[in-house]
Amino acid sequence: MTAGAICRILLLPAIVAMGVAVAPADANAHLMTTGLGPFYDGAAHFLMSPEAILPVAALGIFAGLQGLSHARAAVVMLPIGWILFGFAGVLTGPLDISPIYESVPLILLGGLAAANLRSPTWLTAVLAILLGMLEGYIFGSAASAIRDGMVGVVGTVSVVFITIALVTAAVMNATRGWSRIAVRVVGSWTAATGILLLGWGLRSNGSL
Amino acid sequence: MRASIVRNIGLAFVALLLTAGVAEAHAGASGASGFFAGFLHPIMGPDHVAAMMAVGLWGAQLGRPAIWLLPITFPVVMAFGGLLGLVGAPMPGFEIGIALSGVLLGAAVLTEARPPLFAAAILVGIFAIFHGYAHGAELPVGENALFFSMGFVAGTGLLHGIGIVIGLLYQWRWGKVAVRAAGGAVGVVGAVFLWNAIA
Repeated sequence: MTAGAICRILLLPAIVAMGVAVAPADANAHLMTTGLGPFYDGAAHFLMSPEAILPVAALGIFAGLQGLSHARAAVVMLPIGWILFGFAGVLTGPLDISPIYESVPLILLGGLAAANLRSPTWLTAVLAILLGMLEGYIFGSAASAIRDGMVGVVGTVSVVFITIALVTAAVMNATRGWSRIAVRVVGSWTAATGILLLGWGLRSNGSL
Repeated sequence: MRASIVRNIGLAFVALLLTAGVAEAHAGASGASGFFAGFLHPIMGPDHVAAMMAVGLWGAQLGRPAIWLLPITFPVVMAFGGLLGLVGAPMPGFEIGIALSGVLLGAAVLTEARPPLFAAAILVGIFAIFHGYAHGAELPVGENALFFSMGFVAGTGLLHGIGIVIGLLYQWRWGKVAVRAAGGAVGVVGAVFLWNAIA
């Protein structure tokens, strides 16, 4: 085997190894600083926060299973609540929230998605705006901590809008029986995660 | 040509294995350190594995709607048991309940028991609380409760899924024998743990 052939064989693994070597090892879930500016910091913050992605996905599943009017309500009201209370969070400053409160939207929205009970459209709208208010306030206060301000909130809301729109659209297109069951299983797992998180929070706080 | 592709893939895989990982001082094997710790937690206990798979087997054996009702409701009920364990609520004899779940669920699969759906759901729900409680009581105070919980739920769901997939063999004649035999094996495992719990 010639030296050229050996080099050709080793080229691919060498490229892969270099790629892995330069990949970032640490993931900071909060207070993202991408180096690309506050807009992308805000967007990255949401994408690195499963505690926010899960309830948004559960709301999208619930609304998508209920139908078009519910999906529209969720897609419109969630970003509105998020951006309004995000701005409020920026103004009021950093916030330290207990996991107990973070578990509530997981349990409620995951449970509703799993149960798939028929409900009026206004209920979906109210749930969407309440979720937006809670998460928006948390994200807004985090944005103020790293001085991303309003632009950071706008970056977050942009990704939230895309996420809720994609999830509701995907669920509405899930017409086969097994696919609707699969999304309800995701809701069930979200609720179960929320219940365990509640237990963690209660134990950590020494409430019980 | 094909051999060279396979060789390149193999070399790339070896290169990936040789890349250095990040050393984390407090990523303990039994600590609540993240998704994988939670994911492994339900998988590492043979009594839990046997019972979770038996639930999947039984659901597949009972057919619709049990086969899809199960993976939706079980995680929530089990998580409720986990919450009781986490907050330290007393539950005497839960280890006997866990062992009994293996015996009874295994026997149900072995004998092809077909009770009314609500009765099956109540039985499985009670066992789910026992299993969830045991896990919840064992969980150490960790630094990332959310990731641990997500992994825990996903691990439990995986065991159900494996049970359901094996249970799908039930539609063939030889598969019925295999599924019933698997139920019998679960019953034996449960009986061993019951003996240990009582003795």
